[in-house]
Amino acid sequence: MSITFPQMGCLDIPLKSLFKDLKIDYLEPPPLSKRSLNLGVKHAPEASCLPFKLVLGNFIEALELGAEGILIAGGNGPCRFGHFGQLSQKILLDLGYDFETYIIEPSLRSIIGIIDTLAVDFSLLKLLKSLRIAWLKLNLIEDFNQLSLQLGAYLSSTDSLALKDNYLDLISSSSDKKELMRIQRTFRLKLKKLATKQPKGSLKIGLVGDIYTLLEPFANLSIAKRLNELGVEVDRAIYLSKWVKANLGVLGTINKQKIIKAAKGYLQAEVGGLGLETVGETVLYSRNSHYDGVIQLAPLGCMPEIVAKSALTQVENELNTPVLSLTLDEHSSAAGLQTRLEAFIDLLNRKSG
Amino acid sequence: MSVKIGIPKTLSYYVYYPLWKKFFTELGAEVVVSDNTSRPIIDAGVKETVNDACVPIKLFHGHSLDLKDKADYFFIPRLVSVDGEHIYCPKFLGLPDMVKNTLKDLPEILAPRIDLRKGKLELIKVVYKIGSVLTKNPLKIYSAFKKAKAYFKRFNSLLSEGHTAVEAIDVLEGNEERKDFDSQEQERDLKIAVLGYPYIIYDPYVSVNMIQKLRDLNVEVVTADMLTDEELTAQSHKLFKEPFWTFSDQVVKAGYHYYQEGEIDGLIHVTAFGCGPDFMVGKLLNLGAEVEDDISFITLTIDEHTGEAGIVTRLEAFIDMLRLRRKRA
Repeated sequence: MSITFPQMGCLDIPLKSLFKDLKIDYLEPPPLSKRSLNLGVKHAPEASCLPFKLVLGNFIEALELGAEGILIAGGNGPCRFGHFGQLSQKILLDLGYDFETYIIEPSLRSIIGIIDTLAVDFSLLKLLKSLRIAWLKLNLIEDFNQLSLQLGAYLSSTDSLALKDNYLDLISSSSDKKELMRIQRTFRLKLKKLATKQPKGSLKIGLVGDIYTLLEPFANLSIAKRLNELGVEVDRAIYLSKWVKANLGVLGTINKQKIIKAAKGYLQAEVGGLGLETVGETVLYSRNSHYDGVIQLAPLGCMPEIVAKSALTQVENELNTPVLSLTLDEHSSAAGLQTRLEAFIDLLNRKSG
Repeated sequence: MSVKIGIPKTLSYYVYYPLWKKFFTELGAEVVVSDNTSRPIIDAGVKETVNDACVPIKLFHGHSLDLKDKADYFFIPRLVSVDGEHIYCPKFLGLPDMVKNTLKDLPEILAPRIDLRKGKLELIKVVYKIGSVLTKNPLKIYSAFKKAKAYFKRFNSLLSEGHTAVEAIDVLEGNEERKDFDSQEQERDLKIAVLGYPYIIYDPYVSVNMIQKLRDLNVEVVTADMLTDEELTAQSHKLFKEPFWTFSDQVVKAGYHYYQEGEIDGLIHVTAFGCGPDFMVGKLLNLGAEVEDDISFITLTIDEHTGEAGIVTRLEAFIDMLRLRRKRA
C-alpha cells in the first residue's frame, strides 16, 4: 500500500528518507500549488484555516495519483491541527475516495504502532537507525536554511537558490552520517563565499508565528525570500527541529524555559500551537538590540496566534520594537504582501536612521 | 462592607455561574455580574478586542468593560481542563491574559488555572487557592465549596429538564417558577435539537432568544445539556478521534445521539462567526445529517451584526419546511 503525507516546507526529505530506509511504500504528493489550494478551498469548511485547506487539497491530489493511505500527525490540541487527520478522513470519504488513515499521536506507542503496520520488515533497531538519519537530515536542512536567511540579504537569489537545490539533492540521496556532515560543511562554506561584502547597517527582522505558515513558503508567499531581496537579514524563530527538541526532548527545555519566562508578563499559559512561543520570541527579539523589527505570520482565524496577537500590541508599546502582524488566507496576494513589507521596512529605516 | 467579585455575564457564566456564585457568597463576598448582553456591550467589545477574535471573545471584553467599575475583583478562571481529559479552546486558555493586555484600569483579576488533568488533588488545591482570597480558613472554604457543589447540581438537573441556563438561574434564585416541560410535550408537533455552545444558545440577546421563539412556534426543543454523560459517551465509537475541546465534544456527540435516536425532525447548529473548533463541529454534524433522510440540518451563524429579523426569518422558514414535509409524508 502506498502512503502519502501532506507537504510542509522541507519535511518531505527526512520523511522520504525514513520511508525508504524502512521500506515503506509511499507516494510523494505534488508540491503545493494553486491547484492544491483551490481543491482545499472547494472541499474544506469555509471557516477552516489556510493550513487545513492546503493539507486537504494536497491529500486530494495524492489520492488522485493513486495513494492508498494518508499519514498525518495528530496532537492533543487545543490547536486545530490536532484534528486535521480526522476531518480530512471524513471529508475525503464523503468525496468517495477509498483509503486508510494513519494519525501519529505524540506517544511512542502510536509512532511505533503505525510504523509497524506500514513497514515490510520491522525492527526496533532499524527504526532507531532510520529515525536518526531522518532527524539528522532535518537538522542539516534547517541549519542551512537558517544560514541562508541570515546571509540572504547579501546574496543574489538565483545563485543561492541554485546552491540550495544542489544541497537538498545531495542531502536526500545520501544516508551516511559522515557523508552528510561533510556535505553540510562544504555547502556552508560555499554559501558564505557567495555572500558579497556585508554592507553596514542593514535591517534585521525576526519572524514568528504559526509553524505551518512559517515553514511552508507557498503558504507565506515566500516572505523570507522577499525580505532578503529587500536587503533585510532574517531570523526565523521557529524551526521544526527546534520545536521538536523543545517539546519532546530534554535538550530544548532550557530554551523553552527562556521563552516562557520572556512571555510571562504578557501571556502566562500555553494556548496551543505556537501562541506562547510567538509572544516569548517577540519579547526576546525586542530586547535584543540587533533586531529592528518583528513580523508575526498567522493564518486567518488561527486561535493561538489571535491570543498571541492580543499580547503583541502590549509588547510593542512597552519594548518599543515595531511588530507587523500578517494574516494569510487563500485570498492573500503577493502584491499586497510586498507593499506591506516595503512600508514596514521604510518605517524601520526611518526609525533606526 | 463585603468584597465584590465581578463575573462577566458570558462564556463560562452560562456553565459555572451558580457554582461560583454560591461559593463566593458562602464565603461572605458579594457577587456582581455585568448587564445582560446589549448593543452597547457588543459595540464596546468589538472596539477594543484584537480584530481577528471570535464574537464570544469580543463580547467578553464588552462585558468586562461594563463591569469594571462595579467590582473589587474580576473572577476569570483560566479554564484548561475540568474533566481531566478534554481541554478548552486556546482563547479560553489565554482569556485572562487577553483581557489584561487589551483593557485598561481593570480591577485585580483572579485567574486561577483550572487544569484537572493533574488529578483529583488539583481540584482541592485550586478551590483553596480561589477561596483564600476571602478567608484563610480551609474548613470554611471546603464547606462553602460543598454547598456550592450541591447548588450546582440542582442547576444542572434543571438544565437536563430542558430549562435554559438563564431560566435555571432564575429558578434557583427564586425569580421564576420551575417549568413543567413534560405536560407541554403533547401539544408540540415538532422536535428540534438546538446545538451550540452554552454562551451562544443560552444568551437571549446573542441567540435572538432562539429557544423561546421555537417554543412559541410550538416546537419542542432539546439541547446537549439534556443528555447524560453515558448517552454522550455511547457515541464515542463513531469518531475516529474524539474532539479534544470540551464543548465541541459534547455538541458533536449530542448531535450523533439525536441522529441515532431519530426522534428529532431537525437539528439547528448555532455557531459564532470566527469560532475555531466549529470548523470541524459544523462539518461533522453536516455530514452526519446527510445520511439521515428524515432529519433536516441547518447552521445559523451569529456575528456581531446579527439582526433579529434575519435569524427569525430563517428559523421560521426552517420550521415551515419541516411542517410542510410532515404534511406530505
